[in-house]
Amino acid sequence: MTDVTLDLENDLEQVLEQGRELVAAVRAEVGKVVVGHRDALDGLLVAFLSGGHVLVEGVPGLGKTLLVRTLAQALELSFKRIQCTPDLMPADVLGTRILAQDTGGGRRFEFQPGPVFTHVLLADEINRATPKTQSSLLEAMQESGVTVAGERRPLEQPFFVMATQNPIEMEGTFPLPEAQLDRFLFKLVVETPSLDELEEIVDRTTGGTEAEVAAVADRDRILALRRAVREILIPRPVKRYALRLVQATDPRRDDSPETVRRFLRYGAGPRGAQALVLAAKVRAALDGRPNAAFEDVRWAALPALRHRLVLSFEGVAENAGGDSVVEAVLEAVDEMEGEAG
Amino acid sequence: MRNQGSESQESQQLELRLRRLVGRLRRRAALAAAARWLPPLQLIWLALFVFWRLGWVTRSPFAAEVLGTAAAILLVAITWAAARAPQAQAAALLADRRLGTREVLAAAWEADPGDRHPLVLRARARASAALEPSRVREAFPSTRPAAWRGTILGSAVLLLASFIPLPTRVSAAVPVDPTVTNTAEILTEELEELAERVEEVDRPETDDAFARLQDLVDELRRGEVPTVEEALIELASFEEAVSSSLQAIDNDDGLSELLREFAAEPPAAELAEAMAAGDVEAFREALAGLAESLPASEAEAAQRQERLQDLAQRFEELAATLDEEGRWAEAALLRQLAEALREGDFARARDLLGSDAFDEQACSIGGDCAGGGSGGENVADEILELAQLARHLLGTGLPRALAQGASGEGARGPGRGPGPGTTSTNSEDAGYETGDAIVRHRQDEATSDRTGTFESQYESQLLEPRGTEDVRTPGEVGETGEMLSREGRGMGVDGSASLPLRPLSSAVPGAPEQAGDLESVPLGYRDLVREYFQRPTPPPPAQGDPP
Repeated sequence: MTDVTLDLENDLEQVLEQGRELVAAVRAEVGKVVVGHRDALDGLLVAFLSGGHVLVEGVPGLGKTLLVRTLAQALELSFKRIQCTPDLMPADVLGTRILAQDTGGGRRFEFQPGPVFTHVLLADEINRATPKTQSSLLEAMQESGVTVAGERRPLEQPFFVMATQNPIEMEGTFPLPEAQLDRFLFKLVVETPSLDELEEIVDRTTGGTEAEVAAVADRDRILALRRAVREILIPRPVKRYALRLVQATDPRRDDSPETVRRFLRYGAGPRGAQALVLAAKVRAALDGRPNAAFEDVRWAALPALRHRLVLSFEGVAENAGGDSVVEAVLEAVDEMEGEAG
Repeated sequence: MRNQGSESQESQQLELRLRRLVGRLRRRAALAAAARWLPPLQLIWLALFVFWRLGWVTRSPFAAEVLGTAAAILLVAITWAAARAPQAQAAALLADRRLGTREVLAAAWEADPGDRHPLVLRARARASAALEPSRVREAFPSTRPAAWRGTILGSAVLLLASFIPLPTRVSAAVPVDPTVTNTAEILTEELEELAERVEEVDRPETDDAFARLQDLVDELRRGEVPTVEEALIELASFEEAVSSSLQAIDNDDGLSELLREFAAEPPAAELAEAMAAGDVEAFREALAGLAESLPASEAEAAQRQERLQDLAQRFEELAATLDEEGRWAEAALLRQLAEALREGDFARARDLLGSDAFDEQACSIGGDCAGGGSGGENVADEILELAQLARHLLGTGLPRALAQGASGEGARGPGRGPGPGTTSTNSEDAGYETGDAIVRHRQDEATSDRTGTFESQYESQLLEPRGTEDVRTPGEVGETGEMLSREGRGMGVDGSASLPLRPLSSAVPGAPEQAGDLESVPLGYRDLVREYFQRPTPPPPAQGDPP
């Protein structure tokens, strides 16, 4: 693993400027292959540069896998895919020790890395894996390393997990536990394409030519950018606003919105606050600004909080989604504070 | 690499510009708050002033008060708004919102001035660019606050209203009762007498009260207080002065009692209180009470005039009788009195009747005034009797505190009758309040069979001192056709006096309750006492009795 030493005094602005150019180039490259999904792509980029992971939810056939694979290609990063099934075992993900024989005839155990040892990992239909296999990703996602046979093996940076799940086929699935969900920085919802986008998809995929995706970013530049975005300023009112959003999702608080108190059993935790602030900083950096703003926090609220809310029985019965609750929280906090504009 | 000196200078300049902007925002916010709050406050003050004008007495413009109040409101509003002005960071956020700078001002503002972080420097540079004067002018146009028009309008209305002579509520709401149109005149006489008495006290504490009273009398005399209401309003203000004077002269029993009684004297106090409270109904009732207590009706006034003319005729006949007996001086006195009564010169008649010389001359004719009289045929008795009747007719309707003196003896001294054993006087009927007038009750054994009843009802042992009860005392029909009858109340104590009937009547209904509330009456007997005092009721007027 190589690290990039960033001279904040001299290189920060340059790195940020290059990062913006890089992201613009990535968008352009991805746009050659993927039609639409601009919001999803923005979310992916923000989460990737934040050092977080993304859970993508969408019906089959919307191009989720294509999106992630194309992104990995544009970033010139290694990419692996796990198709999660109920019989998928943790060793299939993390790797295992196998008995190997060397040229001299000696035998020894040798670690055979699993697909988790990559830069970009796509865990397709993660909710079809058993909880045991799902949990095997916990350490990798949180600590960028895995422990196999008592030996901890760090993952090479950048490590980015993108998991998908199908919201309509729930039979034979294992919904992700809250602890696993909390590890995802964002939960993105891939919408169905519009008519124009659908037309373009059809044209691109039924024609004779295939677009070539060029690698526009290397790993070092990405790591430098990941460090640089954390230097983005966030004014205290903006930060407090993000924290109040998280606090407002707690149904036990008297000042929480009525929707929260009715439909939630548990709200977002500190990881939610970290996700909000970090995502706001990245978005500001990608926008070429030295500081995060209220609108960045608002933009990040939905993907960063929607999967961290645990619905109560009434919330489930009323079919209240996390989106509606987060929107109610945004409205209530904006009204309460009056300072977010 | 940036030049550190220029960066530091840029930082300081940005700091200065930010602080200026924040200060400007705070001032604008303060002014906006003041402009927003001033109109409603002004309108509230306007309403208060109008109600004050309607409910109280001033007729003069109050522009100075209005201007002073508006200035005070403005000062308070600005102070209040300045105290509640947004903090610097909130002001920076507001500027960010107006300028669309996405919180870069807030970020630059809260950064340490010595911070040389590249992004801080960049934020400062952006903030500095955002604070270009042209952008600031565009974002914060120097327009007046939205409520500014309302402020000016409210001020103008308030100022204009201060010059409008608003009518008083009393005169607007309560029509003048024609039966009390002479109230002002009567009040004038009362107050004049009171002013004389206050002046006689010659105490420095009473100077202010006397001056106010004298001014009021002068205004009444000059006709500058044309209506009853205004006279009563002036009277109410004088009563306030009396109340304050009471504090200073509390150790002076005589004057204190006089003024206290005056201050509590209905109906003037009731009227003033009703007007001060703005209670129209109460004012009407008090006015009706005043009307009842005054000889205001034309029929009653005509009847009184007719009776005074009859008295004048009788005085002339008695003067002729005295001429025949050679008592020319007494006859001349009676003729003067008759002439005054006939010509309507009541002031002169009062002077004649009010002097001790009149009674002395009458007594000198032959009666034994000190002993209570000797015979009904005595000319002196008849003169004294008629004189008393004339006094009553001339004095009816005046509040008792003003009609007669403050001492229990009264202005006319102790009662004197024509002979012992035939006349009861009010020396036995004491118990009336201090200042009551003396009325002699004459009960002739030879002409009345109800002496026993009279005596028993006025038996001092039967009633507690100051107990009150309506009593009708029948008398005889004199030669003039007059039925000498009186209504009194209660038992008396030595030395006090009775008073004219009409003022008495208003106090009578409460007398049984007062008697029942005396501490000397045991609780278990109080109902019996009340019942006892309520029992004797005036007998129905017999056929041919005078009204």
